[in-house]
Amino acid sequence: MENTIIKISNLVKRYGDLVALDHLDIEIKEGDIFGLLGPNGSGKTTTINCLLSLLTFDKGSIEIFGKEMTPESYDIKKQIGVIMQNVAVFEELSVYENIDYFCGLYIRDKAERKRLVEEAVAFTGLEDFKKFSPKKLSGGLLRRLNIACGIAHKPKLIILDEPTVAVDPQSRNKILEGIEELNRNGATIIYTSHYMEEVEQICTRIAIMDKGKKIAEGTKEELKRMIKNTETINIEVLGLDEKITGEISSLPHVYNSEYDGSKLTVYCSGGKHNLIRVLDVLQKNDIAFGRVYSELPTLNDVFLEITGKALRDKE
Amino acid sequence: MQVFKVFFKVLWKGHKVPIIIYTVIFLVLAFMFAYMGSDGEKMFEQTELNICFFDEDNSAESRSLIDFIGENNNVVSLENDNDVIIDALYYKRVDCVLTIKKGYSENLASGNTDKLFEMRKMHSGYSEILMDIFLEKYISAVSAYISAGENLSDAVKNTETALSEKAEINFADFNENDSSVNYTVMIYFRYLSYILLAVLINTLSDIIIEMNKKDMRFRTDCSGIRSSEYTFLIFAGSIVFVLLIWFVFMLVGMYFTDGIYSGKMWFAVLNSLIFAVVSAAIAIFISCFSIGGNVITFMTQIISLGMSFLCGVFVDQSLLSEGVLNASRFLPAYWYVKVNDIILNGSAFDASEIISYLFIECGFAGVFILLTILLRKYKYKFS
Repeated sequence: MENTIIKISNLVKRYGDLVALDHLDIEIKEGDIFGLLGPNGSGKTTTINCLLSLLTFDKGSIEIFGKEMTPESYDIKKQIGVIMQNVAVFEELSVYENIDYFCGLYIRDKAERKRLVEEAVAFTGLEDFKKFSPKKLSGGLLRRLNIACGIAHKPKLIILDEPTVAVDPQSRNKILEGIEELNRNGATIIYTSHYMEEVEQICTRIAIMDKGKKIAEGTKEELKRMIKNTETINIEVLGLDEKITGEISSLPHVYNSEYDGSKLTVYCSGGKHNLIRVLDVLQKNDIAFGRVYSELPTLNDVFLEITGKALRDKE
Repeated sequence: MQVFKVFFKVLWKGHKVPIIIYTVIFLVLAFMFAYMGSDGEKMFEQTELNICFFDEDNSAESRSLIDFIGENNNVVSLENDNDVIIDALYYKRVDCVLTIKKGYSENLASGNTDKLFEMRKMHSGYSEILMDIFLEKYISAVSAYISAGENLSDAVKNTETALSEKAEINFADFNENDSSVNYTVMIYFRYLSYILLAVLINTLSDIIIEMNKKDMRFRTDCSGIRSSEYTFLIFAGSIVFVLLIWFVFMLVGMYFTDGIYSGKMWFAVLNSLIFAVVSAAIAIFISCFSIGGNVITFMTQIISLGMSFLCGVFVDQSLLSEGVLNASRFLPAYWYVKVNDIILNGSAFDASEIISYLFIECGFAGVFILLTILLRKYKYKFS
């Protein structure tokens, strides 16, 4: 049976009248890549800050590695690596010196630190930039340096708070691959983001947060099973009349359909051959159609169905 | 120790340019001042004028006057032509052209001294005025001797004898009893207050702000190092840096004292050390405000230059108005300069007075440290 690494019980954090965390319960097992998903202001960062004892809280408890987490729990802190959204490095120091400094906050032994820093440099692919000043690095390389500074001491638990904000797609993929590799090497990961695609891609378990509450938790498959929608069919088609759209809406497993004059969207719940059945109706009525595609539900659909609003504004 | 080491690494890599610039400019000025001051301070030189004479009287008395004036000035010969004279005056080949009018000796003997000379000059500088004064003095003296019953020849002779006597010029040394204190080294120490303020505020504020930046502090607070240990190591780094800067300037100061400090100079050394601590306290206080590098540079100029002008660093306190002095009492540099002035002015030296002023400076450091603690607590509470 997997060990529980983090246990957050009944956590409440208030800022005056605002309830930032509302009786939050989260349990994270060893080896998880645990995604905290939610829109801005949902309480993800507050959860992380409470977890790291950077913020006090009004009620509840936090246990990490089976021990209560307090600001003085330095033995626990030594086993945690933190990678924040903002790059926090010294511009006056080189890439190597920065990693060495942050590693040195955990590891005192010089020889061991040297080995760990070299490993972190290699892991993040910064070998060719060791002597570079951070000022001369691109945005993607800077993020990698930020990650190297957070993981050089080989922590058992790594917390990444939106590490891919404002990062180009290529660097983003590299970062995500790196996180998966860290997990394969034995680290438990907490990953917060409002990018649902990233969370879907790498997280083994996901908690969806809104207004300081956990509104759902599970694997991505479990989460998707929580909602009615199992398939959304989109067809580019012209000249449909009410009779045909009505016929489609009355098909088995179809619970809703929308037509805007050029695109038909059919929402299905369950069933295995929904697309074929919809296309049969169109063929039978001699309707020509263009592009046809079927989408499986996303975490955004989960969020939308549970809260009635989109997880992220369209960018 | 990792934090301590990085403190100096960041400090040196990020701030070596301002440190070097401030130090070099200060040292160059200090040395220039030292050399210029040592010559200019103890030298007296009588002014010599280039004078051209035209003697229309050609008497024994007029020739005697020309010879007498020529003893301390340069007599220049010119053609008695108006254009030549104007050219010579314009191009400053001569400072003035003195024509001794016909009937000079007769008029002098009879006491009719109104129109004895005709003086032509182009520039109204102090040297020409000196000549006017000299002639007036000369004629007055001759007239006085004649009035006293002497004949013209004796009156001229006695006047020239009397005017030949020169006053002895002596430079007062404020510290006759203490050879270790001299004007140059004390001026060096006075200006030191400006450079300590400028260097320490500019560098120390910036480095502390950088080490305590929100994201940096966040990362540190998440790490295995205690927050108090981190703060202590930054504080220790600041202290070592302040002592280092102070020590370098003390070493340079020894050049002006020709060796190790001695006597009353130890008070000046102690005064500068306390002022370095006050400057550091101001720098640490400024670092409470999360401001950028440009703002720090601006504040450095305002504080260091403002305090130096108001408190008598650049302008002697004796030349400042009562109002300015009253206001500057609320600034630490005022007491720093006051201690230096007491040390320089040996006759009024009072160790107990100096010690009381040093305590006032320490009080300023204490106030700034207290304000820093309160402000940090306030910021922590509301962050």
